[in-house]
This record gives sequence, C-alpha cells and structure tokens, in this order.
Amino acid sequence: MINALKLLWVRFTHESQSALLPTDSRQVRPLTIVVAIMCALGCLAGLGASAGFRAASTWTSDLKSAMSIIVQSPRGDEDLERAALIVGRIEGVTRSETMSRERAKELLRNYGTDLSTTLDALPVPRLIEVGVMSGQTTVKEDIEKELTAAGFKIVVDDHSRFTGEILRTSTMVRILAMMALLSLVVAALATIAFAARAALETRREAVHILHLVGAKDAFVAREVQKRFLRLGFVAGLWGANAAGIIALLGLTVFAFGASDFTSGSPLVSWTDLWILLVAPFITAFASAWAAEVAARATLRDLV
Amino acid sequence: MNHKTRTLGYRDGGPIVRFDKVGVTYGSGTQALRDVSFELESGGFYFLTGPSGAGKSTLLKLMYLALRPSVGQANLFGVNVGRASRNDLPLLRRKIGVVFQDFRLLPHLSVFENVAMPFRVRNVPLADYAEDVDDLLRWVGLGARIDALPETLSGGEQQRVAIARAVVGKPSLLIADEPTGNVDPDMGARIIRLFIELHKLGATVVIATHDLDLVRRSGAPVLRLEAGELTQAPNSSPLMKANL
Ligand SMILES: Nc1ncnc2c1ncn2[C@@H]1O[C@H](COP(=O)(O)OP(=O)(O)O)[C@@H](O)[C@H]1O
Ligand SMILES: [Mg+2]
Repeated sequence: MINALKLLWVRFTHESQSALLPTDSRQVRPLTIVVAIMCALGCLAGLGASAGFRAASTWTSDLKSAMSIIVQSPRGDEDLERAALIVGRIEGVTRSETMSRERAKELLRNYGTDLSTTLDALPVPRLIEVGVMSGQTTVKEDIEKELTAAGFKIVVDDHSRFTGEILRTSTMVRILAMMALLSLVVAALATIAFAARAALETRREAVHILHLVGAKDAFVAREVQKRFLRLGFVAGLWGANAAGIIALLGLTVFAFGASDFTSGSPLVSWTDLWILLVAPFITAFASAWAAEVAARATLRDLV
Repeated sequence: MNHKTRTLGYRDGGPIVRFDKVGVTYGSGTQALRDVSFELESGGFYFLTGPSGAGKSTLLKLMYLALRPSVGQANLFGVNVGRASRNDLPLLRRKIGVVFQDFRLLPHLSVFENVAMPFRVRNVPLADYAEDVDDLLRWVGLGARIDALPETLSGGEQQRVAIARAVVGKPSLLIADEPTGNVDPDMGARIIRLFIELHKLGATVVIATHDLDLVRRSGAPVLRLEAGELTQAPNSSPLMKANL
C-alpha cells in the first residue's frame, strides 16, 4: 500500500523515463474503457446501497416514531380522551391525541375507494395517535398494559409490519448491491490479471532481455505494476465521473417525479461523494495489485 | 561424479567458468552439446570457434545463464548454475556482459536508454550513470546518436550500442557471440580492440567467432566445438594468457 502510494507519487510528480517494457495503445485503450465501465458500475452499486440504506432508515424511523391505538371498547368520546391521557403519561411518549370521527373518515376516504355513501353507515374506528421518542422499545407493551389495566380493549399498531418489510427489502437491496460490487471487483481483478499476463507474454523478448541484463522478477513485475497503477487510476477517474453524472441525472429525474413518500429522504447525499472520490484510488491500487500478482506468476511460467 | 566439481563457493583467482561433462539437449531432441568439460581462468581472453551449428551459441547461453545444462555441471563464479535459485540468477547475470549475435536492443528505447538498461534494472539513479553512458557512447563513436531509436541506426551502429550495453557495467565476464560477424573488417578490428581494453581492466573475455585469421593473429587460447563436442580446450595453466 505504502509502496503503491510512493509509486503513484513518483508517477505523477516526476517526468519519468520511457517505460522499459514497450506500451501498446491498442491494448491500453480498450482495457481502460472496460475498467472504467466496471468502476462506474461499482460506484453506482455503492451509491445504490448507500441510498437504499438511507431511505430505509428514514422511512423506518418515521414509522417507528408514531403508533396508532385502535380502541375497540369503550368507544365514547370521553373514554377516548381518558385513554389518550393515560397514554400521554407513559415514558417515551411525546404526543397522544384522539382522532376525531371526521379525520378518521377522511383517512378512510384517502384509501381511494368511493365510500362516501356507505361511510356514514360504517362503524368508524376510534383512534389515538401516539408520538414516540426514538429508541424507546417498551412503549407498545406499556400502552397495552396500562390501557388494559384501565379496562380498555385495544389494539396497538406500531407499524412493525411495514418497518419489518422495509428493513427486509433494504437489507435485500444492500446484499444485492454488495454482491454486484463484489462480482464487479472480481471481474475487474481477473480482467487486469489476464491483461497483465498477456502484456508480459507479448513482450516475452523484452522481458528476456531485461532478465539477461540482470533484472529481478520483482523489478519486471514492478514495471508492469506501474503501468496498471496508472491505467487503473485513469480508468477510475473516468468511471467515477461517469457514475457521478449518471447519479446526477437520476437525481434530476427523481426530483421532478418526487412524491410525498420520498421527499423526506434524498436519494443521494453529499456524503456519498466520498464513494466517487476514493473510487479512482481503489481502482488504481486494485489494478496495480492484480497486475503485480499476475506478473510474478507469469514470470515464473515464462522462463 | 568428479570430486573436483563440487561447489564450495567462489574463490578468488580460481576458474571463473568451469564445465564438467555438460550436455544440452533442446526440447526438439537436438543434442547441441555433449560431454563438454573445460575451465576458464579469471582474467583470461578466449576465443570460441567452430563451424556453424557446432553449438557455440548454446555454450555461450549456458555461460550467460539463458540456459541450464541438461546433464553435467556448469559453475560460474563458483556457483553451480544448475542448482542456483531463481533469485540468485540476476545477481550472477549482473557480473556478466553479453553482446548477442542479434544485438537484442529494445526497439522503443533510445540509444542512451538501451545502454543504460543494466543500471536501470538495478535501480541505480540516473544521475549516477548518465555521465558514464554518455562517455562510453562518445567513445564508440555514437556521441551524436544518443537519442536515436535503434531502427534508425546502421547494423554496425546497432552493434556498437549492443557492445556499449555489454561493457557499461564493467562486467567481470564479457561474452560476445560473433560480434564481428556482420561488420566490415575495419569495424571488426575496432570492436576487438575495445574488448582488449576491457580485458586489460581485468575482465574475462570470451568471443565466439568464425574469423580464424583474427584468432591466429591474436594468439589467444581457443575452445573449438565440432558437432557439439569440444575438440580443443584451452590449456588450463594460469600463465596461458593471450599474447595481445
Ligand atoms: N532453441 C533451440 N531449439 C532447438 N534447437 C536449437 C536451438 N538453438 C540451437 N539449436 C540447435 O542446436 C545446434 C547448435 O546450435 P548453435 O548453438 O546455435 O550453434 P552455433 O552457434 O555454433 O551455430 C544446432 O543444430 C541448432 O539447430
Ligand atoms: Mg551461433
């Protein structure tokens, strides 16, 4: 790592001599493009995982900070007020309000079905809306205990059905993103290793001459490593830039189509920028590493 | 096995090269060398002669460690090259300068960079060798072509670049495979004079050549190969030095 950093420093600060092994732009260009694409996809997978994680945590914390109590009996207005008071005294509860019949009807209407005619005939649920401090895990049990003790028959909806679903989905998304990232890394390393081997095999004669004038395998491998460090860095820059542009385009589209549901959680945040910033360096080091390992193995086979 | 050929490490003043019943069989089945035994004294000047296909290049390849013996034992600087580890080879090769029959310059490097190659593979900083390389190139008459690419040089000029690369690191053992093969007699004589200069500085020199005239005139000891067998070996007396 230190060695690679030093190499990078020398590479970009000193005017270096011609490479001892000849370069071939016909090999470098397509390889740079392939590695850049892999890097861009890797960045997008990283951004996706990060965005998914952020969205899920925003949604779940929104959902977790609120509960609804459905009071089945007694259902009188005063009973409801009494229940709300009891709930309001429970530790971790920030807010406890009864929901008026009108609002409850309103809520039902929002479900889309045209219930206007039948609605009045329906028994409207009596609800208490509860705000919960974050990090409070015993509130649900406390509410159930207190209200049951006070003679109420209630059901507490803590949204766990939804939060569980969101957590499962976001975990799934993250696992998929990580797997995509992992397979990209493996594919990129294999591509680089293959290219490094090919680079040495097509320069067999030059490698042989270097050996005969006293070059160690490590020296030849380092020549190859230098080249792929540079290639990885250039490809990484292109890839990270492409990923940044794609993410920005995605954001713009998302901003126009934003709904209430997503407005609270930006898809990409400034903190994601680090993914794009470190990508070229990671690509450069990974490329240099894979090339060096492949070069050493190839050199053992060559002579 | 001959007890004298055991490797006990390099002793100063001992033979710099010692072959004992060395044979080389190429993958194709060609037996290029058979039962070759001889010693070269440190600081000697030797010619290697024989008809084309006799195995001269093969013998030199063993000496510059491009090949290991199929049978027998080859010792260089007291090291059994058949047993030398992969990591030891570069260190041995750095004591050896080679002028290949086909020059083997790197076509994408300038004249200067080709000659500087032995320093670069040793990670010697440019400042420490730039002057030496410049001086040597001027000395072989290529002072004006320092930045030229090999393909823009004549055959004789390329040969001088190859020679400069072989001698620039002041090797203990200089090996040249038909270095006068492709040049006019005048240039041939100049090249031999260069080797003699190096020999005077203490290097052991081995030159493969067809030029029997040159060999006879020099009076240097001769190894002669015919169909893979050594038919003439230098007298191993330490006083048997070239009459140059
Ligand atoms: N790399 C090789 N593979 C197979 N046969 C070879 C190889 N190099 C040389 N030979 C054979 O070995 C014999 C000796 O070749 P060489 O050492 O080049 O002779 P010289 O240099 O005296 O002309 C020849 O018959 C040649 O064809
Ligand atoms: Mg030959």
